[in-house]
Amino acid sequence: MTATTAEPTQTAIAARAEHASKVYGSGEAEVRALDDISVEFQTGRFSAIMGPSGSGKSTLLHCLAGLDRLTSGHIYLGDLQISGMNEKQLTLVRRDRIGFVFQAYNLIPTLTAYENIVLPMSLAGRKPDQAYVDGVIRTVGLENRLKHRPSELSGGQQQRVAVARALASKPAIIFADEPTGNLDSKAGAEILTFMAQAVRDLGQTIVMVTHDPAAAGYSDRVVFLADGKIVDEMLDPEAGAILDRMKKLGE
Amino acid sequence: MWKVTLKGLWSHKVRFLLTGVAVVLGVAFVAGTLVLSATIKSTFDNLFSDVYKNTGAVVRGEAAFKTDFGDARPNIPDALIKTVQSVPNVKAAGTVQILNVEIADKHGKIIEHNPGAPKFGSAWIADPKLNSYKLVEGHAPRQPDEVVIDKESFDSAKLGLGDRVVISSPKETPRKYTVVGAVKFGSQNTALGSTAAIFTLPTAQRLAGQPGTVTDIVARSTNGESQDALVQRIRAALPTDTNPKLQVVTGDAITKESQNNLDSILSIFNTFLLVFAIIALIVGAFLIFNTFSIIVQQRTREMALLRAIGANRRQVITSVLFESVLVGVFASAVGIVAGIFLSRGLKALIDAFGLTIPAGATVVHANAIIVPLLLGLIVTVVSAVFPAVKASRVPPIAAMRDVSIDESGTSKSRIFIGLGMLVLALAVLFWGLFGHGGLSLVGVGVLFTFIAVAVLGPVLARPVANFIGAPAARFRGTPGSLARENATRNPRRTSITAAALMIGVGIVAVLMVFVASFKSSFLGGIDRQVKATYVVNTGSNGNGGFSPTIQDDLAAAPGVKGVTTFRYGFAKIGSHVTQAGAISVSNPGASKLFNPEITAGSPSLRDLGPTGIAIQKDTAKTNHWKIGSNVAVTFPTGGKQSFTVRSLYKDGSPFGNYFVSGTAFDKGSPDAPASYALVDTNGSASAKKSVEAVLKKYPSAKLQTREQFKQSVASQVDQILGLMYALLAMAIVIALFGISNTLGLSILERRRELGLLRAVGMTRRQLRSTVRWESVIISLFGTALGLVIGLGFGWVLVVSLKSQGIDRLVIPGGQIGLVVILAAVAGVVAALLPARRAAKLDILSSIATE
Repeated sequence: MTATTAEPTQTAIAARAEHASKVYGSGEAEVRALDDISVEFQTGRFSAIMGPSGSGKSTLLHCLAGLDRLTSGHIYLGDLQISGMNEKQLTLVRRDRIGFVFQAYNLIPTLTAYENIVLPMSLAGRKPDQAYVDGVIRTVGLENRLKHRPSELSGGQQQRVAVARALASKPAIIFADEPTGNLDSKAGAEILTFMAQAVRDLGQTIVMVTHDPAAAGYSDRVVFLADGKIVDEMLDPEAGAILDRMKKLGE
Repeated sequence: MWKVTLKGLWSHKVRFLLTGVAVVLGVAFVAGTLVLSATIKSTFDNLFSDVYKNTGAVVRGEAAFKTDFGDARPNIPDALIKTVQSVPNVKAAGTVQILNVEIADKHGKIIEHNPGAPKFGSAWIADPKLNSYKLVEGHAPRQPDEVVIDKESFDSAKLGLGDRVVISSPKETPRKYTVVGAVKFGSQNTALGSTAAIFTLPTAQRLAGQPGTVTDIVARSTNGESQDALVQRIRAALPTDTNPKLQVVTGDAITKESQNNLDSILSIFNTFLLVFAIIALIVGAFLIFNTFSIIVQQRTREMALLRAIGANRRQVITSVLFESVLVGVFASAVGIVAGIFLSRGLKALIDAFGLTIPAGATVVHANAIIVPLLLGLIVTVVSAVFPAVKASRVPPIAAMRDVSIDESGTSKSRIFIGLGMLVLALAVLFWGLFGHGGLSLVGVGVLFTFIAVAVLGPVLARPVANFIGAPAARFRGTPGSLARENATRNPRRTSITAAALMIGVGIVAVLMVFVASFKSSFLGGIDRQVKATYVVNTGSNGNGGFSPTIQDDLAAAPGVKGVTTFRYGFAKIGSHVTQAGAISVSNPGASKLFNPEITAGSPSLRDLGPTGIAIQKDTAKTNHWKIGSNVAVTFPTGGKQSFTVRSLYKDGSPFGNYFVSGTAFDKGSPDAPASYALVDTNGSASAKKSVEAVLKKYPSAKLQTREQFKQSVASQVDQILGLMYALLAMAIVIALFGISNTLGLSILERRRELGLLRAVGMTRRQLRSTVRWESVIISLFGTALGLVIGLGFGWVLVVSLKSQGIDRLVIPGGQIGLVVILAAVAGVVAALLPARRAAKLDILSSIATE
């Protein structure tokens, strides 16, 4: 346990893990997906989490986003401690403070693109900030696709709807889990460009898990995980350097 | 391939459990019905064998005509007893059977072991072998005022030998008798809960209203000859020129005949219950069809993989069919076991609605196992055939596709086929109703209409569910609109699920319209016809009656202005057997108490005379009878007679379509009690008191005002309606299981999107609400279809019965509203488990892509 009480509220930290551990199973079969990790993600930055399969990068993202629980340690979103919250509180935190982009199945098939974009706000019974939402839609280029259902959109368009949804409610932080994993490189590049743009122009905070060095190349900072521990990090990275680093991790 | 099938079954055990439940319930209902009727039959068969155990021959009158309840026969002269007794080596006795002989206990309360069980009166038979009762206390009745009663009554009323009890019979006002003995029936204190009062022969004859005659003569041989030989010898000794003509039959033949008569009554009862059981099974079939369709759809990948690695279409079909056979056999087996228990529940249910039936130890015949097993199996396999064929058509490429959105709602061929079936079904239905097709054609037409609407269902599902769901979407926010979208995204699934409920609701709606119209017409008829201050009615559900002497007693009471009594009995009129009524009017003024609106002929029913008959005008028209026509009438006693039509009248219900005078009726049906008396008084309180004083002598008569009389008629109808609703409940419960099952399967299928919804901030409560509203929308959709069909059928039915006296069409709005509310509540209940399951989904594993 660390002394984390009375932290300054003007912190520029959007999300923070403190001595975070996640253990599956017990005894012989015990797996430490997260092994006493402490890490911070600054507001207004585009951060990437990388690591080989089984490194714990997805688990870290899920715990940060309130989709999964730590075995021990603490998670803060801004100055709000979410570790220890109950299911209902976590749901409201996800709805009101977090945006999500998943790898696939991001959209509700029965809702139109527009309904999907404003879904978190309609769930909260809130009126969307129409001008802002329109701006987001223009940015991702979906003006002519709003009435379409997901099945009528291409994979790239579907992910753009997902990004628009994540942005539309002006969340404190967006978590993206392999957002380009199912896309061809051109569509993937588009998505990443939008995300980088949102950070740069709108001051959004994004934390993205990826195993693709090219995708991580769009970020401001890369954190490398292996065996549930943070092993390295890189500021303003380039795809080439990331690839080299990843190769070493894989050895 | 079989291994794959078995593994598939095991991995989907929850779904199959739910499918199984539908089969189990339907099969249990069928099995329960068969077990119950076998149990009742065996109970009576044993009774009849006991009664006629030592009877070698029976002498009786020749049947006048057949009724649904056995032959109607005249009594025979009691002088013949001596004739039979004088045949060498023969013991014989005359029997007298009287129904509704009521024994009052010390507090004046009528003794009853089992509500509705018969109360017999009879004459004592001295020969202990011919007497099916065995004396266990006291001695046989010797004096006119002595009686022997069943041991159960003797014990339960704490009577002692020498106690005086009041006994009433339909043909006589209550009198006091001395209890001189108690009898057992075989080893039982009572025969199936009935009460028995046994008198000397002359007393019994007087109570039966037929002095000098007996019902029949039972005889046995003392020299060990065959029953046939005994019959021959008795026949030879009897005179040949008797009126009525005599018949001598063996004891075995009588036993068989009694059992067969019972069979035909039981088969009506059996059919009544089976209709509801079959409805439940058909609803179950929809559920099975739906479950297999969804499972097959969900297993598209597996199917395609099987095809890809070389399984041919036949193997895929065989695999699905094999699954259905396993489900069918297993669920039917469970259903049969459940049915054996359910038979008791069914009996309790029927008893609760006032139709007590005696039943001994449960009897399970082979057909109570084989028939439900076959039905369950056939329904399951047939319901699985279509999904199986569809499964075999899955092209391997489909393995790669995600869950697709169903487009069947817009198929042109579906609309075409559905409408075609509907037209055909309605044609069959109308032919059955208005042509000469008969009731079974109506049933087939109704069934096919339901199927046709089920075929059209997917076309209707989207627009109708959108409409029904509009308030949910408007007022319940995102959960509401998601529910609406979910209900319409798969129109075929929604409509089949709803169709199961549609059947139950449809039948309920038909009953509602029919009964409301029937009641209104019937009660309206009473309003028009009955002009008396009071109606004297029988106390016990129209059973029994009271002595016709009530007419003179009432007419003599101070303050009474007039009395008209009605008696009923079977008669053959023209070519068919029906209930004929007798009308007795105390004075000319009293003929106005009953006004069935005479349309032709003599304006009063008072003066029908010994050979006059009044007939309801539509009945007369069908039979081509006019005023002055001669009509052949056969009563149980007195043979065929010619009556002349004197009047035609408009209102046939509730008092009947034929009337003769009391005098004519006395000759033909001397033992028939009075069923109703209409009494007009000067309206004073003292007149009411004097009427009540008269009725003290008639314990089974009940004084009612016209309104109370209407109420009691209505409540009898309601009781039968209540029983039908209770029996339909099974079909509706199965349909709700169907909704639950479909939702459960849909939730499994939509796991990913539900996980996503939860991830982006839908609370568990909102998710539950979404599932609940989808359920309510499906439920209301089914209800709406059912109501439309049911109200339509009800309307047609009522119109077709206009000639039967149902002249008003009533659509009971309040009840329909109640059905809609109940349907919505049922939707919420059906959603309980699926909603819980959806809310409990683990978000991470739901959205995991691999």
